[in-house]
Amino acid sequence: MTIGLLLITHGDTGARLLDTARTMLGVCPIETEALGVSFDCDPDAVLAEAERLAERLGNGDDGLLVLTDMYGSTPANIACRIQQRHHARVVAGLNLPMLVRVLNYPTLSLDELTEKAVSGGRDGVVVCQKPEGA
Amino acid sequence: MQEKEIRIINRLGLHARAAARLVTLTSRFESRIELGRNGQMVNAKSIMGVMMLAASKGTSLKLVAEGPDEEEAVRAIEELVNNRFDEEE
Repeated sequence: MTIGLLLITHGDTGARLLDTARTMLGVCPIETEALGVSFDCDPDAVLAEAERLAERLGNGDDGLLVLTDMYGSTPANIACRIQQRHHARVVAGLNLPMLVRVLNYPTLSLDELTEKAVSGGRDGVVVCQKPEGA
Repeated sequence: MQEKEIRIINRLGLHARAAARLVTLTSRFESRIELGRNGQMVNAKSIMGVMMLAASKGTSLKLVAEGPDEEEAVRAIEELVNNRFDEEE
């Protein structure tokens, strides 16, 4: 499988998460790019850049997974539009557990990886217990 | 099936980078490998699963391996844990 991974987020959130995940894992087994969207951007110009990255990352027939931070926001709206012209799936709600789980399964198909992204993101939201003895 | 109790001895516990190292190791084996505590068992080849154990220093974990390379897997995991995941303390 040669799936590409594209993060489309507010500001440099995606780039920071990607740096952290890469450092944590020691490798980045999926070709990944992060595209930051600023509040004063021209959405059409960002979409053009996103299309360019999608073209490159999704060059194989296996498709492209796009992760974005907040559903309904401009970055997520741009991410959704990628699907019009590319074999892509989009998941909103990006967090570090979601990204780490996706990078843990580089050989899965696009549909399977999409499921892993959703489960990783959800499972990473936990009410933390008080440490023993505290 | 191999079953063993292992104790986490490095200062930071089974934190993210240690979990990543563990998963990199366990993924090399064909056997099914699980880790657990307090009755909760997780897939030791899943970094998110391993992190959900929130195992700090001093935590004892149950290690279960089942498959053609189960003995080798348990030995390698024990070695990694006892070497503090190659961390200094």
